Amino acid sequence: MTTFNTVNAGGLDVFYREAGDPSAPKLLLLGGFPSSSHQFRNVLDALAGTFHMVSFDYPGFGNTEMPDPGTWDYTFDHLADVVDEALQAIGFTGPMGLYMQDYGGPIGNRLISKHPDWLQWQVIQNANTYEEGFTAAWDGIRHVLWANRNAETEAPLEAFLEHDTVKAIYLTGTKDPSRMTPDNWNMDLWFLARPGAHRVQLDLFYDYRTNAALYPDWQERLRLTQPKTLIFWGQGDIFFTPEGGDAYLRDLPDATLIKLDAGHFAIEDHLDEIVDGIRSFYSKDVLGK
Amino acid sequence: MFRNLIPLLAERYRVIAPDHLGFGLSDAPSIDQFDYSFESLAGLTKELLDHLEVDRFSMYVHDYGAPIGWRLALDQPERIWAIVSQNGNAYEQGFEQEFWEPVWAYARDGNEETEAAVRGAFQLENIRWQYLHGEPDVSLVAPETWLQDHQRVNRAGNDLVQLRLTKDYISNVQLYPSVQSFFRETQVPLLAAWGRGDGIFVPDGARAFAADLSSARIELIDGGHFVLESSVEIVAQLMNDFLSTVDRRK
Repeated sequence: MTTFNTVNAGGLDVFYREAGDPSAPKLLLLGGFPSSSHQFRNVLDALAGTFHMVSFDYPGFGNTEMPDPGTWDYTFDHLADVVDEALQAIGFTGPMGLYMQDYGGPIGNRLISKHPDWLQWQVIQNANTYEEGFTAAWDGIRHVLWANRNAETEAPLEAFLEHDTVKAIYLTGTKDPSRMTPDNWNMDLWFLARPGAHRVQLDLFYDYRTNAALYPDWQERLRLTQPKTLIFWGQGDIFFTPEGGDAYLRDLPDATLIKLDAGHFAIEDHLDEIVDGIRSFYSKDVLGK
Repeated sequence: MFRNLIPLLAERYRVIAPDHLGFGLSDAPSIDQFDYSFESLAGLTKELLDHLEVDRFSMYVHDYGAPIGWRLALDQPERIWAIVSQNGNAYEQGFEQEFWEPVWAYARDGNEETEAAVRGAFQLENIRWQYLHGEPDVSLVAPETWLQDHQRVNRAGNDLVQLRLTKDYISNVQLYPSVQSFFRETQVPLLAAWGRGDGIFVPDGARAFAADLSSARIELIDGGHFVLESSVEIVAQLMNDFLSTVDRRK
């Protein structure tokens, strides 16, 4: 059974979901924009008999405190520091699996840089590490905002924070929209409607350039350390191209790549494939049974 | 509120959980466009069941679902083969008096002062209270419950929809004698699976079914108004046990 908790980290009340037996193998769930740990609610239920799992809401997302972006720096470094501190505060440390989706990639990679011994195996689901992974949806961020951040270059990006676009993030590439609960975008929009929430997200769009700059380092680490890796890639993701998933195989020739007829949140409509895939990968490839 | 229960029943039953008009993801026309009352919501529910070609059914009633379900039962008693009441009230003794006093005051005299008192129910903290009050372990209750409710209730004009229904709630109390006669006459199989810590409908409301239904099964569960959030497996087990004992061909 999933529990809903808070822990103080980085001076903030950080919300997290937790499921599974604390003595079971650890699996850290790191999600992405524009969701929160809400996106893992079904995974937590489905894998509670196999893993001990936690999933945090990052500052500015979900139920974690959202400090004023005028005084608190919304950067991926800062979010990763808060997650790191939260993990240490609840004692969720040491060898573990990492499930990384979207922003969960940059945050997970920073955690691995700090604690290389924590990464036992990884699941990568639409978390990008390659230039060719960016779709045209990023053009206004990569080619305009990163070059020159001002009110004019920010304005078009606010569309990503509005109802129809947030909904489109869930539905683009989704074969059967009736399997996608509107709770997803309604929940995101509740959080995005808070005063200051748009500023928070624009700050992170801008800071994402630091991730693109780190991609070569992360690729090099993959090549050198060859972590056991299972990749699920929604082929219709509004943000990341199918080539972004394929690219991992250049650096990780032994990784398992499962292409899903799905979008950014493949976990919503391909839950069974993903949880069965994780169980089987963990048993065969991680434990070697 | 049924998201976790539905998968636990779906293997054996066809489960339907409508959003009432003005709630959740159903349309929410303004009060000028639709005459909101428990009667009109029950009428829409009946139309939905007809449309889905649901002939006979058992029903799970919770809170507002109870007066809507009771109306379906009074209208077409032959369609109902069993009832599960989870804090779905049918007796005066079920009301938590302190909670309901402002509602009755607003129904008697809808003025600025009585309206302000019932409007409190639309605030985030009070919606959250509905989910957490009476729960022995609040860490089991997902925050998206009260956040989503808050979002829906705070849509433009939805406050007026909710006020209409608040004002109309007294019509449900007026219906209780007929509902109780229906129980006595039909002896419909009934399971009361009742959150004992509910700050809106107290356990005496569950116990009261026994007065009219000699074989009613009454189970008090450690939890509150939305006991499914913390005890869905217990409720599903009780329901599967109870429903499997009922002959639905009768």
